[in-house]
Amino acid sequence: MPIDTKTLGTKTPKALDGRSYPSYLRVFERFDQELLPRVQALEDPTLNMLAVEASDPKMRSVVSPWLASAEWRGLVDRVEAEEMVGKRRYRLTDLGLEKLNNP
Amino acid sequence: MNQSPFIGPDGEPKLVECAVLFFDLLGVSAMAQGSQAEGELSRFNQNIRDAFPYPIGAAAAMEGGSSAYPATVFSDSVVVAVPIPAELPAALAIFQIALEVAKLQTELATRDYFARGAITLGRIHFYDGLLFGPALVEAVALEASVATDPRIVLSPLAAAELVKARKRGDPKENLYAGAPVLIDEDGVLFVDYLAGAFQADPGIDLPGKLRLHREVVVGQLERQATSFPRWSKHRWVAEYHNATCHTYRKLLRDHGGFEAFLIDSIHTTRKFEPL
Repeated sequence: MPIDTKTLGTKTPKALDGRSYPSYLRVFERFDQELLPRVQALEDPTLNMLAVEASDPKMRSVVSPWLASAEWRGLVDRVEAEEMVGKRRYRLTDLGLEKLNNP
Repeated sequence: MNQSPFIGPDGEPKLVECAVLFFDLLGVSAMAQGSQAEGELSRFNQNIRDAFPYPIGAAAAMEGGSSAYPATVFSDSVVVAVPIPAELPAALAIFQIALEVAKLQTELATRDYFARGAITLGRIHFYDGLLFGPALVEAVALEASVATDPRIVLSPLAAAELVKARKRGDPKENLYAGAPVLIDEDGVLFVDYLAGAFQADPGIDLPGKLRLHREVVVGQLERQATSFPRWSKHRWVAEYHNATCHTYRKLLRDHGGFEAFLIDSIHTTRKFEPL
């Protein structure tokens, strides 16, 4: 995971290279309870697979920034770290599972 | 029953309010005509499919329910449409496209494919291989007459939606001011693709991407040195690259300093402002 684990669970997680979680992604945290179960149910989905599953067009539009937010907060991680954007698959981390089970 | 928003209840084609992204990739037409066309096709095929967030040919895929949005690639041109239902703020669709295209542009640029295009708001029909509508016409016109350099510009209406969202004062709306866009010296808003990728992708290798970006831009400046129109497009990218290095100078301190990442084979002075 590219996140400094000491900063997980804080308001401003940091990447190992010093970058900070962009504050504008915080608003997407409220979709955790709708989208975390979908990541689990779809088994390593891509961005497109998650978006296709969202029948509500508004939800479809938030999938991409929500994934970025969830990755910054260590809730999801990539199955293969080096994949390009279109091929990336995501899965829940232990922290994501904990968040899912204890909202 | 047809689920496409572009088809009415009786099967009639509809124009739908969308955020539309149109861009073309510099040099791809020339690659298609060169003696290495088959090799270039193979490289292009793999890179564009791996980098694109939605399946290519996704107009058909969307109609079949396997893609979120219709998207198509025609030679060196790419079109994506994100439908905007009445309850969805237009700024959210602009924000979404800007964030997605930033990551896509970064992947492609570091593989020597530079994109030039536009994001517009308006009506389009995108179904069964048919693309039609004023939002596409506007995007194509902006690509040709305003973008000029390898940048993806926002139409005046798309830019206004972002600015309006910021001014509404609602914390939920404020986030749209975080969209990765910059104002160029000519006053035009464009997608700040490197910053967008650095912000939205915690796993990205920032110094590694900047090194690759530098390498491909320097290579293009050298190859195009006797063709001013082509050289000047890559000069713009060099200006943008150097401005980005300056923005991230603190993070580059442990990697030899930002000066080590600059393109210093030409003199760059351009200023880019945040929204």
